[in-house]
Amino acid sequence: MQILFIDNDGGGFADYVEVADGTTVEQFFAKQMAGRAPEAYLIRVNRQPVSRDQVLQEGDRVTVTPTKIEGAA
Amino acid sequence: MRRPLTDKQLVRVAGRIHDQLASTAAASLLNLEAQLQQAAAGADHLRASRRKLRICQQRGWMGPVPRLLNRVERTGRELSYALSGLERAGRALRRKGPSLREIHDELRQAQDEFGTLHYDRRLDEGSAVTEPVELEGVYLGPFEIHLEIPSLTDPRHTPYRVVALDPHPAACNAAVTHPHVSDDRLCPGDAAAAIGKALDTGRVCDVFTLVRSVLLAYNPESPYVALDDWFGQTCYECGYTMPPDEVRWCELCGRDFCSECAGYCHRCDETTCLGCLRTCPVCEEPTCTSCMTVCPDCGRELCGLCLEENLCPCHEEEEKDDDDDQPTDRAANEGAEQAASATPTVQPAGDARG
Repeated sequence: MQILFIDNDGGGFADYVEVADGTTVEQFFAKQMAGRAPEAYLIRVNRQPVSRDQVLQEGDRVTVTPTKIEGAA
Repeated sequence: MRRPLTDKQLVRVAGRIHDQLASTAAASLLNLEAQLQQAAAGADHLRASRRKLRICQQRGWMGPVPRLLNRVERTGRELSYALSGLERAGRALRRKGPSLREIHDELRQAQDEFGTLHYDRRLDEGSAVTEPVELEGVYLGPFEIHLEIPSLTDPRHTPYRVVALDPHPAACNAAVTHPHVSDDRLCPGDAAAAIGKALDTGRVCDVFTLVRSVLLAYNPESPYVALDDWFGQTCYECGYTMPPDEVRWCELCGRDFCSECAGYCHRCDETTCLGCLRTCPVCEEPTCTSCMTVCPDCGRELCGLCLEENLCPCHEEEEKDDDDDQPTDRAANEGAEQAASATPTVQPAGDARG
């Protein structure tokens, strides 16, 4: 199934990605953001905070935004 | 305390943002037309050049060929640029802008994330307030992130600013209210690209949350003012924290000192710390280690000026020795003169036998 994934980490990626049926939010994050700690991100599905075990549905909109990003001068 | 925007107000603000983003599409169409015109003109030039080159080839005229070739190459470069512009303009036009509904959902989500949104009709700005920010023990207060709707699509202008609501600016610069905010302008650092993408696609909530994420982090490698210096600078010698106008920077060791721990060299007038100052034993003036030198004769340390003027004590001792030696010489000379004048007469040998 396809879901819209908006990754606000780094360059900002926004596109549809293919995801297996039954994939949870936790599993999706672990695959798309391998090596990153979920606690360091705001994860929203369809603009709502969700539990990690929520199962993604076709057409869901998933946004991942770091809670802290280094600025500059 | 501000009340959350009502749904009707959210729709109004969403409408403003939608109109502004739509104006970008109109600008992209104009741009596309301009690029097409340039490409068409380039193609006409190339056709004309091709006709002329054919004439040259048919009549065996090689003279005009170099000039024609230059023109072909130049036109080719301009055409290539125009075609790239066409591609970019086409991509921008093909990009589907957010619908009014989507923008409305963005604003509603931003209101949920931040507790409330505010809309200033006069300035045509939407704003959200962060929680109080504290970085490494330094309290900076809450910040209001203003999204300037008229500037959303202006490539020359950053369409958001960050205003400290309870400012605790750096002691050395009142305009710096956060290590990465100066004059209400955030330097987004690692978030720049993501914020740009979010602005392009009308993801207003993402813009607010990304800006907040920058405010909640500290990058010690690149602040306007480092947090270590936030309340003023510390004297390297005694640890006293001083306001900026009391800081004395030692030219020699490159560290900051308070006025009690710093002085200045009476030779070069540079500010130095007391540790880098010496006292010339001759003139007794405070002298920095750069202006101190060593007497080549006796190895004594003194200032360069005293050495130039031959004021080293060893030179005085030498002169004194010279003065002491002068009377002994006179006596020796006088003795020699007397000895010379008292030479005995030598009698002839015959007289001695007589």
